[in-house]
Amino acid sequence: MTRSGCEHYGWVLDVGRQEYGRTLAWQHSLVTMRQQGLARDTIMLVEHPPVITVGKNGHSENFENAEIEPQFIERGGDVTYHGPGQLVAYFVFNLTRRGRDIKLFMDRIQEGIIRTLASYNVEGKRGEEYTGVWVGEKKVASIGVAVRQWITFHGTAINLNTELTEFNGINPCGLDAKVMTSLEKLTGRAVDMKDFGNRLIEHYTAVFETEFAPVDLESLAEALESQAGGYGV
Amino acid sequence: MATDVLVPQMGESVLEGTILEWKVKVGDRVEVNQPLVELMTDKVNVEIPAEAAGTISSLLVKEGEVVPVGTRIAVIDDGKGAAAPAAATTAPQAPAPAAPSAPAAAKAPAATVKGTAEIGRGKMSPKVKMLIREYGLDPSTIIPTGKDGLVTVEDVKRTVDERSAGVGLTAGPVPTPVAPVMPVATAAAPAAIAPQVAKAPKVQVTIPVFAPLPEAQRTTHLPLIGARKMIADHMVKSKSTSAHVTTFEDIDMTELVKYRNAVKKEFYETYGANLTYMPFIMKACCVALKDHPTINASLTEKEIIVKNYYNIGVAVARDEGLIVPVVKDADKKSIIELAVEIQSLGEKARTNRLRPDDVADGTFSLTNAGMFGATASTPIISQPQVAILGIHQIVRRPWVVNDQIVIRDISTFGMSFDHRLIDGHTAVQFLHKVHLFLADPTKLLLNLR
Repeated sequence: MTRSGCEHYGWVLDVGRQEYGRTLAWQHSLVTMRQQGLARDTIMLVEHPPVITVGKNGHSENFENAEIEPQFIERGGDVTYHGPGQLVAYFVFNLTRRGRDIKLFMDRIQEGIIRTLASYNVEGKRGEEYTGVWVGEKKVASIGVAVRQWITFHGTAINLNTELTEFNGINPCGLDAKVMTSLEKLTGRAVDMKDFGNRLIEHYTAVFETEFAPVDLESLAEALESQAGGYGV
Repeated sequence: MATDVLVPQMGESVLEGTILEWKVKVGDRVEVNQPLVELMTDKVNVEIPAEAAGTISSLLVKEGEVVPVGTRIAVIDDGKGAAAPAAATTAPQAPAPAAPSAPAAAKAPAATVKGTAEIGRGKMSPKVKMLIREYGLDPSTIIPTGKDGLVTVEDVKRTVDERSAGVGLTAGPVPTPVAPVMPVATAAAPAAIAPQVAKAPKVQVTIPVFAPLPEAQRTTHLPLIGARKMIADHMVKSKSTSAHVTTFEDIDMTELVKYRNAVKKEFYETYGANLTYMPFIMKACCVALKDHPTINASLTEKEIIVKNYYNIGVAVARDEGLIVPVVKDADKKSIIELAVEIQSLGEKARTNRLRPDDVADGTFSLTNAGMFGATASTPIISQPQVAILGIHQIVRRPWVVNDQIVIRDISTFGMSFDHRLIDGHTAVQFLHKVHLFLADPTKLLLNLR
């Protein structure tokens, strides 16, 4: 590894506000493309309309009072909520090229968030008992990842300006909904999501030793749509 | 032949996983990379692919069970039985011995080749053998031109020349560095008085000529962004803003070294921080700054702003580049508090967790180049401050004290100051005062508040 140079070259794909199912299909496409060497390690940034998702470790008592129909998906972890004001980052990375260390990978996802929070004067820390990024006793970012043939997908949801009452119908990650917080709540002012996203990628550049070149949806659209459906959900 | 399916290594600290769901059952035919099983660790769901094709002959672990890394969880049988290994043994071919010599043969001038059939088997004199060893040559690559296939000294030299010229261009053996040990006996002769007739050296060293790297590999281009860009801009701005002058003084740290060595272990055990020299130097500076207020100041085009608070920056090296976190109100803090805070700021800096507040509003700076071995340097002022004190390695030096040569622990401090505001005598007096406090920590004690 060089001290200043980047070890890897990747992509960052900011898709703005997109419906959950659609980005899930894109992730599946990216996984296939990554396997075939048609895509680089990619971080997808997205903001979802309200949705509740349940991972492989879902316990029904944690979402039985949900107001929206939950979607069952292949990531690790329990139930969570995505919605406006929350920045979601999906990671389609080839772990074979990064030592197949899923713990290190999870640590790096958290480290990038902690460093970004620090630039807002907020001291985040890794959850010792519960994976995620915590500020004091409150959780600001949730994490859940899936790995297929050593290609990762899913990722992290960071509450920036999230309407926290939306968590009330569920026990996010099996925890009490009151444990969730947002950067807006922590700093007392609304967070510019674009700005946060830029800072986040800057820190992931260092953390993952990867230079993330922006790619736009248009240039990838055809490839994504043609690959989509290659995986059943 | 049976292949075991094991729970793979998933990282150093991942020790086990839960079998979530089998994707196959006994008797299923599987292809390489086909998902076999889903495994769950904390927040990560991992699909384990098949590493061999065949039929699942057994599943050894039930869904829901927790299994350590390395556990055998299934067996895939390729149906080939015991016959397969026997067939496989015939596969690896012994490498053809003549192959490596072929390129050399092609390159050799045809006229000099007398017996190509003898390549690699030529007879050699002890001298030639020694030369071959010294040059690290493969004897099979030398084409003998001597009588009866004898390898001559010229053959060896020619091979060496060819190798040098061909480096990087042919697929030949990589030359090992040549480091012949030269006999030194001739050095005893007074060469200046009786110059010797130039004699062929025993070992002729040929300087290799390397083919240039491909254009794309000759240089590495990195974007000038982020912290490095900010540092670059700041350094140039500082140099073009301040009239930098650097004054040096050798600081006798012997007493302080003694004191620190006596207490550092207990200090660490009590406060969980290393007691470095930095808190003492910081404290000495605060006391001296109060006597020389223009050093704790900044300058605009119209006015001099003297600061009545003492926020001391400490430069920290990190991979991403230098950063200067600031200890606020250092004059009001104890040595203990300073030690703990400096360590904590350093750790934050190295892990990129400094907040904007942590690097803001410094009034004077310290930078320690000594930990990397420097004994002097001329630091650049951190704007808008007007001085920075460079600390260097503490070296045990012979020193004259009361007309006796004694061993003292000496560090050369170099302070850069902005001559627009600070005159030389002010800077020198300030630095000397810092010296007095560090040379005799009891003086510092008397001045503490």
